[in-house]
Amino acid sequence: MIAAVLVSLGVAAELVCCMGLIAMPTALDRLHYAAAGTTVGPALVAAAVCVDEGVFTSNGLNALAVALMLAFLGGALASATGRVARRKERGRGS
Amino acid sequence: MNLWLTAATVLLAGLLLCGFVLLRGRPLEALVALELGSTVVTIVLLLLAEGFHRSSYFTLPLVLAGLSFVGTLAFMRFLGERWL
Repeated sequence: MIAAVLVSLGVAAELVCCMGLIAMPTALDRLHYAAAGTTVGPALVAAAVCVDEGVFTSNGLNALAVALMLAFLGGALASATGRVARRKERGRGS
Repeated sequence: MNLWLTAATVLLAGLLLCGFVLLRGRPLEALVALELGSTVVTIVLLLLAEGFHRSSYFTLPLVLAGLSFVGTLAFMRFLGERWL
């Protein structure tokens, strides 16, 4: 039951991020939703896997590793993309 | 079809939205859509691995999480100056 709720929330969060990607007008606005998609949804799905299988199992630890990798690497990627977008907005100076 | 496989199928709709922006947007917006699309695919693979109850399938999202980061950085590095 708890796993079902967590999976539903995770999928809903990802779908909201995808809809935000379409709705927003500029690349920087869209980047907010792309960055949110790397943190909220994977964390909820990994929590659901851990609830279903247990934390200290192969599957649970793999799911946690995926969520952590997505959170950290996605943040770094959003930062790098934002820097490129900002440079493009202000010319090549900054 | 269990809960995990249903969730993976529903989440594939999000991939269509990312694909729309990827095809219709400007290059920088397409790069952002690529980032979110690779995240969505990673979660879909995670859900499929849990849905099929196969431990070996969990390797796929783990590898994709790292490789999508490297791939997007490569796009940014090589296309950045001229196209983005």
